[in-house]
Amino acid sequence: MRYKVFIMFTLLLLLVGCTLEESPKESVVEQEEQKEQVETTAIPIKPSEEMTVHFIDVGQGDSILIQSPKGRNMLIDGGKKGVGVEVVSYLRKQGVEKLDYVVATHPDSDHIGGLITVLNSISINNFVDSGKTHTSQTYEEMLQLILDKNISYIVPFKGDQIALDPGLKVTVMNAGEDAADNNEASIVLKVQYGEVSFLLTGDADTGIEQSMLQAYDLESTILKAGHHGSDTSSSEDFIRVVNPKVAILSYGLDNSYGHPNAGVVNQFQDIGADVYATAEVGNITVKTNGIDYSVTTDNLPEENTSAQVTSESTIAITSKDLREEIVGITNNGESSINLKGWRLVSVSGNQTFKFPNITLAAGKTIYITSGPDAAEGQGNIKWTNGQMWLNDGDAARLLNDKGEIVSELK
Amino acid sequence: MNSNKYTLDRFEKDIAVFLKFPEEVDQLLIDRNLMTISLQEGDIVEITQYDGTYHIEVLEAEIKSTRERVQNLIEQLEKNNK
Repeated sequence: MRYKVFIMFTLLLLLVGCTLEESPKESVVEQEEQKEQVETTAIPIKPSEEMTVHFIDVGQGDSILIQSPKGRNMLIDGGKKGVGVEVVSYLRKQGVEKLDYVVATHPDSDHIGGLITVLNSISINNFVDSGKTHTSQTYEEMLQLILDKNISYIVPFKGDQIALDPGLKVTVMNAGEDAADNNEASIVLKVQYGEVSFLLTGDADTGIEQSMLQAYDLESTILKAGHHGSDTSSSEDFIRVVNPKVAILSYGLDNSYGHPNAGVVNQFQDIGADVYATAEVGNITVKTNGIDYSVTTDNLPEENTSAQVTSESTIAITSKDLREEIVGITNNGESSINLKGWRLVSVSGNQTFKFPNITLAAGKTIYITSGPDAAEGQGNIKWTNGQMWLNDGDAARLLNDKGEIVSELK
Repeated sequence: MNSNKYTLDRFEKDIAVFLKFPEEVDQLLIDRNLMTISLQEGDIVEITQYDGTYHIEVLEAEIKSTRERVQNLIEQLEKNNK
């Protein structure tokens, strides 16, 4: 399998040298009384210990594998029934011989179907179920297998902690208690490792998002968008508070349900999140040592392979200095153009600058600056002090407010 | 005329997703607005297709017996965990 590293962010270097403390508790699920906001304070970590989260491409469905710093494994959902063999094959390729936890977020068949093959193929210690029952043969077969194989069966409560690994804090932020429908019952997990966190929301809808906003600290580095990017999830308030750096969408190409919703995808892009979709890039893997993280995918994102200019414009990228991190954009036309909502993209670095409400006069050039010495004013617009461009080659792409490519400089 | 047993897995907005009994690998998608009866997730039904329309019959006894079996399994699982 060919992996290409697309992005590597450096976050905060605050915790280097801290000691990992083993949790003295061995209990399977620790229950916490939920009265106030549940804190998800960072756990001291050794930066050398890495964890990996795999968003497995199961077509229309969800399946996520967490490999903890101590080598413990948690599988969250298994896609639909026809893909169970592929999920097991993927797990084996990752060296998974035993699953410490399997979580069935809710009983929809595109989440639990593949778990039947997993139950029949791999040893499982604990099975976490939403508690929302179903009359499908798949759900009944799943329960029967858990019983036959004498697997510990857990229905968690909101606020519970799952003791997957002493270096991680895994908090249940929603569970099936009192759910009116399957999606509402979705088990939502926040997995915190040092400064890096994952919010995994199953198919939780906007109502559940609203109730979680009242109870928890939801800000997360990586968000698995709810319900395959449907607009039944991912409300504006929720996305703003979670403020993810990376949004993962798990759905099948040309599915019958219109997933993902274009407005939801735009919302993620508008807040500057990097969006990855299993339908476009295949399996998505996030590795982190609790300080830095990297995202790798099986395939290149489609936008990286199709660099065609899709719209005529008098605005063009006219210069690019990757070392000094300065990109010039010129208005070659005869009238002023407002650039609000336009975006400048570092293609290899997969970073996006969104233009503020600024008008570029005819014949004028503005410079978008980044890096430690980024200039501001006098024709310069400062993007950030971070380094956004890869020095060994990085195309610059300009998109208008409709998302159409108007210029690219390789 | 083609008739099969299905379980209503879920609704995806206006689309009802039925799983074909017993393997539940094949699915049947029906626009909710074209259904003449109101169904809930978990309903077990017999669907007959003729003249381009779907005739849906709810199998109440089947739903009841499946719910009982599922509840019995959950009770056994909870008992084993104590």
